[in-house]
Formats: sequence, C-alpha cells, structure tokens
Amino acid sequence: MSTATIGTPPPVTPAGEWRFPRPQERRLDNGLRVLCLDCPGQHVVSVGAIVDVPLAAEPKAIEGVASLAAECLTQGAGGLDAEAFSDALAACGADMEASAGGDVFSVRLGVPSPWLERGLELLTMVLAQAALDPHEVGQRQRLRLEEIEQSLAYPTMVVGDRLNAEVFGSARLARPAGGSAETVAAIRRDDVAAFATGWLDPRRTVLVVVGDGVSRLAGGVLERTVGRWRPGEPEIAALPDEIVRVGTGTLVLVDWPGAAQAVVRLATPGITRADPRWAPLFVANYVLGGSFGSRLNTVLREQKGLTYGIGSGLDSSRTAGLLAIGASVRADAAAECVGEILSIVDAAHADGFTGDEIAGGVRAAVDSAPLGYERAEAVANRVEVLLAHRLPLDHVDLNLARMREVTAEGAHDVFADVVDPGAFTVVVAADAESQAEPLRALGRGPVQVVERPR
Amino acid sequence: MTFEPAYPIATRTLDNGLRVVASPTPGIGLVAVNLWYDVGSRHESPDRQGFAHLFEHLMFQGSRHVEPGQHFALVQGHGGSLNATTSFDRTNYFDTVPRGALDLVLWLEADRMAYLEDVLTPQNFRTQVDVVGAERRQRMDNVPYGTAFELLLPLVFDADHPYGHLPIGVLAHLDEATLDEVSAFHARYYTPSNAVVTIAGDVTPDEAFAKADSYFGGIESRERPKRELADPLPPRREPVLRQEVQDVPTAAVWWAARLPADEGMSRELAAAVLAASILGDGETSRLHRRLVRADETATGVGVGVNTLIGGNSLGMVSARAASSVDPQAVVDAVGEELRRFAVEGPTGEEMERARAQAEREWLDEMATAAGRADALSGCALLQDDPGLLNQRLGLLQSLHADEVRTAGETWLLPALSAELRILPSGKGGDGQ
Repeated sequence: MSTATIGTPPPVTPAGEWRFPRPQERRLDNGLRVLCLDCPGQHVVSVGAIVDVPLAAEPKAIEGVASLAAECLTQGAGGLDAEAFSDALAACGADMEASAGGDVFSVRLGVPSPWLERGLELLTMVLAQAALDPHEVGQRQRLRLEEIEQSLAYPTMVVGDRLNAEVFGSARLARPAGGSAETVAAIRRDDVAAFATGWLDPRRTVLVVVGDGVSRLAGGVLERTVGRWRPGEPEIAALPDEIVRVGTGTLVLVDWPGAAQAVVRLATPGITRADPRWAPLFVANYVLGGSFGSRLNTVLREQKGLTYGIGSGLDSSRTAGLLAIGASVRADAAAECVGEILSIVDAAHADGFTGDEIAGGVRAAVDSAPLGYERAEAVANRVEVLLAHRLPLDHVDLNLARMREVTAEGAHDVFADVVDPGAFTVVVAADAESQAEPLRALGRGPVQVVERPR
Repeated sequence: MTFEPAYPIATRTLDNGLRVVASPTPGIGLVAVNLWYDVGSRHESPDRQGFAHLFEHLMFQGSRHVEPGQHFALVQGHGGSLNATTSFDRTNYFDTVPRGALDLVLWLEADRMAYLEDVLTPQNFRTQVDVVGAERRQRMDNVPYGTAFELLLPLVFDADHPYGHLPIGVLAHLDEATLDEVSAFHARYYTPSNAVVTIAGDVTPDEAFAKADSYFGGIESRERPKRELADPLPPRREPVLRQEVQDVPTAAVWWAARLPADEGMSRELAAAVLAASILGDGETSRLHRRLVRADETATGVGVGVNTLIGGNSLGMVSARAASSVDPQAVVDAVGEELRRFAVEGPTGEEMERARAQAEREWLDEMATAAGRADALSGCALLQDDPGLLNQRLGLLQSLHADEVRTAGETWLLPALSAELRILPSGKGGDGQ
C-alpha cells in the first residue's frame, strides 16, 4: 500500500520562552493608577477601568443596583444624551461596556488605535459625568426585568442559578449577579446614582491600556482625559472580603417536562487562583475535563455519544473556588451521565493520572500562552482577573513556571487533597417523570425535585 | 479617518492543484493553518441534508496514520487550538499552534485529506451521528427560538433550493447514511484541487510553500468537482407568513431577504451590508432606536447578512417583542422603518458611523493569525483571489449614500415578504 504522507508525526520544536507583557505603570495626580501594556500588531486598543468594589457592597434589598448602574453609565454622559453618546462612540469605531463582577466593577472600551484619545475622553465622561437620566434608568430597569423573566426559559441559566444558590449559601455569590426580579424592581434612580457616585473614584480604580504602541502614548493624553476625573469626598474604605463557605452534597432535579435535552451541572469546593496549588490542580483538570481529549469528553461524547461536549473548569473569585462540570446530555440519560461523571472523578481521585496525560496537560498550559494572549483584549482581561484577585502583575509568569514543574504525582496529590468526590452538589434540569428514579438510584442521598420556575 | 494596514499575501498552486496562501507576521511565535474545502450544505442531495457537517465530525475520527482523537490531543497538547465548521458554501478546518508545531499540523491535515476511510468503523460513525443529534438539540431544540433560522429559510428560498435548509440538516437523513457514502463524499470533495490551505503567522512564504509541498504535495491529484451555482433569484414579492406556537417567553418575529450573491467586489452586496448595519446593528441603529427606545415594544432587534456565492446571499431581520406586547405592533414598526429607509436613505452621519464600525470589525477580525488565515482562505476559495482581503475596506469607504439607499429599497425592503412569527404557548401551557 503506497502512502503519500509519512507514517509518524513530525517532531515539534519546543516553543521559546514567552513572557506576559510588562506593564508600564504610572499614577496620575488624581490618584488613578495606570498600567500600559504593549501588544505589537494589536490595532484595536483594549482599555479597562477596574474599580475595586465587590458585589457584596450592594444593599441586600436592591441587589442588582451595581449591574443596573453599569448598564446606565453609558446611557448619556458629559453633557451628551444617550443617543448622542452612543453616536459618538460609534463614530470612532469604539464600543464600551460596563459590568459589575463579583470582585470588581469594570468599564471596558475597545477602540481603534488612531481614535484612542477620543475613546479615553468618552470613557472619562462615563466615569466622571454619567448622566443617569431618570428616563434612561427606568428604561434599562424595565429591560433588565424582561431579561430576568426571559432567562427562566433557558435551562442552562436556571441550572446555573440554582447551583450557585445551593453551593454558596448566604454569600452574595449565591444570588444572581444582576439581582432578582424583586430586588431589581425595588431599585430607584437615586440608588443607582448613589452607587455610582459613592464607589466610582479614581483612587480605587486601575486603568489598564493594552495595544500596539500604547506605552509610547503621546505626552499629556492621559492627563487630558482620565486625569480630569476628580476624586470624590470622602474616600470610601475598602470592604472586608466576605467569608464564603461552600456548601456540599445536595442533589436537585428541576422538573422540565418534555425537555429536548437534560442539562447537568455539578460543583465541588476548589481553590482560588491565589493558591499555590492552582497550577497542579489546573493541569489535573485539563486531563479530567479541560480539553477535547479529556477523560470526561472521551467517554461521554466520543465513546457514548450522549453529549455534544462536556467540560470541567476551575471557577475562582477572590473569595471562593469551585471545580465545576457541565453538559447538555440526552434527555433520558441525565442520571446515567451524572453517575458516569462521578465515577470518572472517583477514578481520578483514587488512581491519579498517567505521566503522559500530565505531560500533555503541562505542555498545553505552558505552550498555549502566546495564543491565549494574542489579542489585546485577552491581555486586558487577564490583568483584570489579577487585579480582582489582588495578585501581582507577574503572576502569569509565576504561574507558568509552576505549571512547568507539575508532575503526575504532584497533580494527583493536590487533586486528592482538594477534590472531595462525595461533596459534589448536583443540579439537573430534566423530565422528572423519567429521571427522578434513576437519580435516586445513584445512591447519593435524597433527590430534591423542584418545579421549573415560570 | 481611514486606517487600513495591508497584510502581505503570497500564493502558490501545488502540482496536484492544492492552492496555498501564505501571510507572514514575523515574530509572533504562532502559526495558523486554515483549510477551506469547496463543499457545504448547498452541495447535499435532498435526502442527505446535514451530511457535509456529519462528515466534518468524521474528519476527527482518525485517518491512516492518526488514531481517533489524536488530532485534538496532539494539537491541544502542544498549546494549540483547533476546530472545524460547516456552512452553506464550505467546510473549514483550522489549527493555530506555536510555530514549532507547524509541521505537525500540516501532517495531520494532509493525512486526513489523503486517507480518511481507512480507520472509520460503523461504531464511531454511529456515535458521531448521535453526537450531531446532541449538537442539534443543544443549539436548537433545547433553546427558546432555537429553530427560528431553520423555519425561516424555506420561506425565502424554496425548501429544495440549495440554501433552503441548514447545515445541521435532518437527523433522520443522517440515520440512513452509510459508510460507503462517506468514502464517496471524501473521494469527490476532499481532493487537493477542491481546497485552499492558508498558512499565516510566524513563517516566511518560502518556508510555508516548501512545507505545504512536502506534506500535501504527494497526495494524488483528482478532478475538481465542477462548481454548480443556483441561478440568482430576484427579491421575493409574494408575501408568505408562517406562525408557530412554541414554549418561548415572548413573541418574536424574523424576516428574510434574498440579497445579491457574493462576487468578491460587488458594490450592491457591500451597500446592502452597510444598509443592514445602519438599520439593525447596535444601539445607534434605526430599529433599536425605534422599537427598543422610543416605542418600548421590543427588547432586542437585529439585521444581519450572510454572504453566500450560490446565486444569492441571505439577509435577516429579527425582533423580540417585549412581554405583553402585540407582535403586530413590532411588525408594523419594522415595516415603517424599512420603508422610510428605502425612501430617505442614510444620513451622512449614519454612513460615517457604519464605515467606522465596519473598519473596527475588520481590525478585530485581523487581530489574530487565525482570523487573517480564515479571511484569506475565504477570498481564495470562494473568489479565487486572496488579494481581495486588502481591498475590502476600500470598497466600503467608496460607497455612496444613494447606493446604500437603493440597496435598502431593492434588497432589504422585500424581507417584509417572508415573515416568521413564534408566539408563546402561554405559561404552564404545553408548547410543542
């Protein structure tokens, strides 16, 4: 049999040393810390204003106020009404979006490099002079309420919210980041203004600028724009972090009659990104469910054809970490899949990983860095994650160095130490008539069957 | 302000007919390899809808020298990313890796271009039919409004038109497919002369051509299937309305239009794309301002264009009604805005904004080696001219407001003739 191609894979030349872009750091007179990171060839500059205020700062009765403030900030600012402001953004090919995350509040701007100064002007208007017009706030609030109601029709969202509620107990992470229908309805325009003026302050903000040539920003550009953002009075002290206790072990079945597929999601306590065991656990997870050829995907997709894809990942905020696993699976096989997933985790817990598996995971983690940080936006997002976790800016390089040291034994030790297979909380959306009994038969304790929310 | 970095492009055709495009970006440490095969859902026979996409899955089940699953494991295991997609006109396989793994990727792609059928078993074939079924359910059947696109297509093209069905296809057709059909499909469409490979990133054109020749050059040359394109159809005039009741939270409406085919530098299609952007892209668009902001009858609106080569491209308009709003109010307002645009055309400011947004989108697309490689493969395979990539923005900049108005009137306004409404079955009701 003649072959036109050679029979064995050609050798791969090891990738050279790669380092995360070095930030150039300055502090402006208004207290704003600025980090500029050069990314050659990235002509859409990615800018982020990262404000040190967690969601836990929201008054409990009006949760969602931070997200609503985020939505409203770009609806008119600096003397421009909502339409004039969005026209101004579009005219320079820019987009801007604010969001309230668990650990930090951020306003992100993407703008072609020739328009960077104009983009920074518009960003400054938002940070310093957002209009928060009552009509705009009311309209955004109504849209947000519609969104909450519509989200109930999506099983993946319902399962995600329910899992957070089960896992995070009384912590802010247990409740939807954007608030519930009840708390959002209770927000008044003045609450939004109080949140924005109270927390958005240059002294508690880091401005991240990433793109081609940004470290050579023309003199005065920052001073003329974000430098004009005046600090408030008085400065608000940082909040102490919430103590988050991660709950374990419940099994909830959301009854979804006639569902075309079942949605399953599982989580067990993990670690935060700051933990030195992050690197070995990350590589272990690559083998478990963090890649296409992972154990979970190989069995559930490639061998059994039960799902289009299953993945697991390490979720981390500053205050809590999870190992989470999720998939959409065949409607009549939800219980079978949960059982299969747990037995794959059990096996990893008991027997660990092969040297080849871990070597592949290490190479994947280390050698994927240049690809993972090819775009300016990806670099900016990573800096935001580091700031949110209060990690130093050389943490990416430090973490890669730790990755290189991961061994099969080390990965197994950490996996066995951190992951408690008996502690998984499981949430399933499926037809209870067919799936309640097989889920009970897994022998993981009582199955709490709840109605699909409407 | 016009900002238009031009990307270097070099081309070579191997003796077996494989077209190779190279675009160097020295120093980035990465290389993207991107193959477009000239086969998509428009090539499928009426009783095998979805076969091209199923076939794409099978391309990951190993080839003569590659074990099932090894393609993903090797590429990801060297820090790369990879995947494949199937569309109406083409099937696309792409890998981005550290430059030291370029040979590996070319070898993997060449092996499955040359010898796929050696390792396929009835069992992994059936499993992939199941996986495609799971993909369809996850993306369409288990998601509110997930089947809208599928329901809309036969309203604008007839069901037996090459664009009358989606690439995901019909699961019953796939259940009936056989391994012999897989071999025949591979033999017919997966020939070097029916493909383009683009190598973009940290590699010189000479290196790229030499490596492409050493891995793909030995693959037997076979006849390139003749490209058969449907005749261009005029805009639809006779109205058609389909109404569905489903388990969805609120009513939503879609419209579709036949647009001019993508012929590379078609001014008419480019004008329709700008008109679509002005009408329905983002918070500055006319439909958003009218329906979401002024009337408060919709929670979201959009206008999109799918550029295609087979006689016509496809335009789509969508609007999701706010709860308790009569969808007729949404339909009336969309109709008014499309008609107004057809008469008045865009303002000068709207033209400027649409151009700036298009420029920004282009820069985003070009920001990665993978994005550049994909765009180059597209120009090379569908238009036979990768150099079109560097002319795209110039074309947009040169359009006049009246061309955009005319495109709105001629091509987008007829979307109102093909309408799909999905209405909620009611809370607690039994939607279908």
